[in-house]
Amino acid sequence: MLARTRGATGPSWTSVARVAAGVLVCVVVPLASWATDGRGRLAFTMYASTVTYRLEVTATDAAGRRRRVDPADLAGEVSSPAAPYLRGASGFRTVAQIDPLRAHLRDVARAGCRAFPGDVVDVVLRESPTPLRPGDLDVGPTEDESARVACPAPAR
Amino acid sequence: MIRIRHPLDSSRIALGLVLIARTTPVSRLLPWPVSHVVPPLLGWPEHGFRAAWGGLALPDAVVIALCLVRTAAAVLFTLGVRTTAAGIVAAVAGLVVASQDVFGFKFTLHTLFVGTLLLSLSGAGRSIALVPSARRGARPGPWLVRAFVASVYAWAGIAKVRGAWLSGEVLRALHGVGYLGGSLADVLFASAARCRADAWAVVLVELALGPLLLARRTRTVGLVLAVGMHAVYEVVARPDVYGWIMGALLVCFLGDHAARSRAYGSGHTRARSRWCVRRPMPPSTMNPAP
Repeated sequence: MLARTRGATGPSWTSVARVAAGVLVCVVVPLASWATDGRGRLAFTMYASTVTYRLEVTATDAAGRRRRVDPADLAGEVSSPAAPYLRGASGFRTVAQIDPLRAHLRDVARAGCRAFPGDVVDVVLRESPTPLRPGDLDVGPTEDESARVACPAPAR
Repeated sequence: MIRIRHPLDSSRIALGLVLIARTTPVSRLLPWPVSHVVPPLLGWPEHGFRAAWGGLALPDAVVIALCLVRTAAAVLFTLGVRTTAAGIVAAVAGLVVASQDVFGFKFTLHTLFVGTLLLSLSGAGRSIALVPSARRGARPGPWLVRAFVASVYAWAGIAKVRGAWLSGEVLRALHGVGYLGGSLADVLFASAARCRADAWAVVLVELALGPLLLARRTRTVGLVLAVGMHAVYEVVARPDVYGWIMGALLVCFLGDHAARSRAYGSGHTRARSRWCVRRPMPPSTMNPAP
């Protein structure tokens, strides 16, 4: 039987896997997450910054009537981890980060389709790097992002 | 320095218990509401809501199956049954499920799954296990987990080396909106000057922890500092189970693994471990007569 026992050279697959995993999770992933969007979403940036934001949600029906919707009303239509991003977001609030909200605004608008079938749902995210202080109503200039989804009409 | 006999497997059991507790309804017994899992298992699809990473959404049935597989694998990993495979499966399933709802992403969970993966690859499961893993493949060693822990602290420190943090403004804001609370927080963040001093202290400690933990001579200092830092974080920030996860991973620093590796990796064992091919024994030697 062929055997390579004594004198075997070269690393085993487990050693290679360990080195590869170490380089990947300790260096490559965190570095790449800084490089791609400048926010370091996978670079253990825990609580390193804050963001102040509010959400404006409107539903427009087929006749063109616009209704202002409290974002908290959509909290029941999204997953439990997503709901806290919507509750209390009708006014400015300061949190540690809103990366998922910023990246998935359209998914939030789509969640509104369950409550407003046949309408067009608009979601506007207004955010400011300035922390909100107690009693403040205005946070100064904001950067806005929006998403619009035309909801399918309810089946008859 | 405090030493324990099987640091890698002690770490495995501690992390496995956190993994089971944080991803199942057991989480509802934890005293922090932020750690509670509302659906049947962490990541279970809810209301058909989809916010998948990169738009790569999987069917609900697949996500549910992955949740179940992750839980079963986490139990096997903790008990020490096919530990390497179980840990890898639990970690990969956990990361894939987490990718299906980016709103659920937390560094706590990311660290939990990656820590599980690295412990599995490090050779955990050879002791304190229901079915100890066979002694083949590369020697077990905690260096991979140690490197990961050091890198977490280093990246956390690097992210804070910027004006907004070092001015104390971020800590002041987080305290102002209630993210940091309690009587200790009220003392620590009572003024702008204290917030600035605390911000610098956090950065300096986080940047120092990696080198202190990796160097054998300063490891005890590093461990004391790390545990102290997490204790303060627990009191003022209640950061989910993050302190528990890091505590479980820090167990890998308890013990001088070099001596154990030398004992494990004596010439014969090392040679066999490379390619692991057994030579059949002659029949006459298999059952020697008494």
